[in-house]
Amino acid sequence: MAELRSETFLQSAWRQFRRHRLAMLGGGVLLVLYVIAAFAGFFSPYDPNFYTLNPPFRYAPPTRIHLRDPETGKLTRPFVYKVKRELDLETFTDRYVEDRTKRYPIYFLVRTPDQPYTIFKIFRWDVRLFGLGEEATREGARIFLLGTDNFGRDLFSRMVYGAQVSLTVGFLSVLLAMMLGLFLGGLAGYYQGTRIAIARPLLRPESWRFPARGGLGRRLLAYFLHGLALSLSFVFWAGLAATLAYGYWMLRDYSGALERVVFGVLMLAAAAWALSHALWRPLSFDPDDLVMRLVEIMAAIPFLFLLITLRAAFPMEMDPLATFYLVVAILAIVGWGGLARVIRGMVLSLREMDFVTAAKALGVPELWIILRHILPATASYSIVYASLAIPSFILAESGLSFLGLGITEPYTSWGLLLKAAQDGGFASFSDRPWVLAPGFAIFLAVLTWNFVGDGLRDAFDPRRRR
Amino acid sequence: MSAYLVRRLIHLVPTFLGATFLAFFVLQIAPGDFLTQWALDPKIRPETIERMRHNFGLDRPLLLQYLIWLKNLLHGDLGVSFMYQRPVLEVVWPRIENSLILVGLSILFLYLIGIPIGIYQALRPYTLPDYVISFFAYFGLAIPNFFFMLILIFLFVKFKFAFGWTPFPIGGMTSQGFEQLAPWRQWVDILWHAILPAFVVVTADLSGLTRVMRAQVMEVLGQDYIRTARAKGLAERVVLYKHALRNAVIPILANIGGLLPGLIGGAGLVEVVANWPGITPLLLDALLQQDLYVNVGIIALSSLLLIVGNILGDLLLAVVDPRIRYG
Repeated sequence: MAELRSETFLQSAWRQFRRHRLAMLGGGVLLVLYVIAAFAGFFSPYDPNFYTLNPPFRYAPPTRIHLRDPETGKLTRPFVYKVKRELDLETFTDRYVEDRTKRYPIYFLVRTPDQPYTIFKIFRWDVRLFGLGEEATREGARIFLLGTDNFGRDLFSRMVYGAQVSLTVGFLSVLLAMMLGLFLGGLAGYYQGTRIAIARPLLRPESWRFPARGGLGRRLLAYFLHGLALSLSFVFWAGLAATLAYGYWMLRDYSGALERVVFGVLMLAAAAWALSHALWRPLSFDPDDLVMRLVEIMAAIPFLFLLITLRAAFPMEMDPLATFYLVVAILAIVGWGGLARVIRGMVLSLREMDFVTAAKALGVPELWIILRHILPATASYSIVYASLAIPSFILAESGLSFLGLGITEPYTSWGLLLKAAQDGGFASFSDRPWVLAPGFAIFLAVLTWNFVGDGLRDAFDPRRRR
Repeated sequence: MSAYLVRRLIHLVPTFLGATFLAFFVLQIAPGDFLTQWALDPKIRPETIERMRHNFGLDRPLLLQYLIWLKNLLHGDLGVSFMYQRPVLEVVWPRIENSLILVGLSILFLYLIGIPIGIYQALRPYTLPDYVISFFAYFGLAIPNFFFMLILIFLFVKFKFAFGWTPFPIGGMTSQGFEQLAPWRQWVDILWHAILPAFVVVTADLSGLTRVMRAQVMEVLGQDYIRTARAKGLAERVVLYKHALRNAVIPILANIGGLLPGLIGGAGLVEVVANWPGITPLLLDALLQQDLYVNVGIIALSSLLLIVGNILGDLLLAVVDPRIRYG
């Protein structure tokens, strides 16, 4: 007899997701895009930084692929001709003319020993999906599916390699933003209303004592932590006093009479407040306040301005790989606030649920309650958030790179390729529309991620189920 | 209500202080300052640079620089731009005005186009026009707006080559001979230039808004009071525009504050592409030159605009929706 089992949550979500035709289509396209990015070397005919000065290929248009034999007019193996740069004497611009003396057939799965590549930085290989072969390359024949850039590098190859950066930046930064958002949002929500002392008053010895229970190891740890907190308290108060004194001393020289009075009063008030806390009252804060004020402050600066200001805090000329990680980190730092705000709200209501009270009553450690009981309840929202945040992060990265503040050479991303397209001004890309191609790649990636995100949202939301 | 307003305004102060201090801090941890590039010039003596650094106040500790900046802010003085040798407000404010023209026009487009389209879709759900519009909405959400602007420029340049004129000017904010025009003609000229970039700025939000509006109207039309209104024989027009729409439009108005940061940021990239002399090109310049007070001034003013916009959004919501009461 067949076992009767009800559908699990994930099973029903998957069933819903599969019904969403656009989402399935988007998922398929994304899979293709990510496979191409992972095996970029295989799918690109040339190394992304390969160019020759002789023969020159600056801003060469896409190579014409001939399917018919010019003599017989019959279908034949696809081939290309060599192109030669000439100066158009009427407009004084470069023109590429086909040299029809020799045909160069397009080979599939062709070996290019002169331009090896690595897959995942480990496996060295030199077989490419298509190309003209080493011999033809040496003779000066090229196949440029999407033309070339200002150095004469193959734009198609660069786009394929750019996919690696553009698609992973979105992924990595969302991962980081989610870690930050879940952690800080969860913390803020769970501990909202509890006050955490950062510095203990000096004149209240009873607050120094630490009620430690349990075995020796546990007590030793407790005493150690307590001692640490106590010494940190002293350091904190000493530091604060020094800062105030220093600030007052510096301000003397710089202000007029009225301001000096105002600043003096403010300083005195701050000092009095600090003293009273140092001596009698513990200085404590609500973690919720801290996190949410931080979110508010960051939300008060327009997104783009925060992004480019943070980038400008680091030197413009940096190691390209370090720049890549910097871009990921900046995107995450700017983007975690929205998630943290929502997670905090959800945790606020979740922590009042019976299952949390039960876990508390059973003596489950707080960290475990948060990690095992509360955060999983926010999982479906987080997944949907991630799938809808990835496209916006891809857009942000492309914008940043477009402004010249993101990814740097020799790495490339779709945004950086568009920057190169725009650098020559309006007229430059009207003559060579192929340089706009990377924009369509961004569009496709963002569109399909949006499809997938919509599908996931519908799949995880019981009210939207059909 | 007024108590709420006062509370919001008081609440604004720490946020504003935090945002400006954050900006100050981030800008000052960048290596070097405005004068660093001068140090490379052999014609300028190191003592001169040190003296200027002292005059600009760049040799002071960070916290002190911030406090002095704050003090000057209370006097309405945002400091002096190193690059332009003029007060920051004089440098920044015209640019903010330019950006606000773009953002204002975008918001106008957003509501004038988005709401009617959303209603139209909601009245004919799951029909061909609905699907077509939804498809374009996906389109608008996915296209990077700077790329969209590039494509439009490309098309218009081609159009100009073919026909010798363009329906909208390509790039820039003013035509040639702008100074000689009568004042009202100048305004028309600026608006004429702003239409294309404003439309590009608003594409993504427009797509989002039509989707929300469609869902809202559909939800409201399913409510009991709409059935009641129909049952008592009200004209469909009255049911729709008087009973349904007012409730459907509330969350959209509630979102007006949330729109601003996105629009200001989104306008930034379009400004760069379309040569619109807005805030973002200035900020980029000033960041590269490390023109500290221009940077801080831009961030301070834009965050102030943002916060005030949010408060106005909340107030608007209270006016439209009597169920919302701020105690």
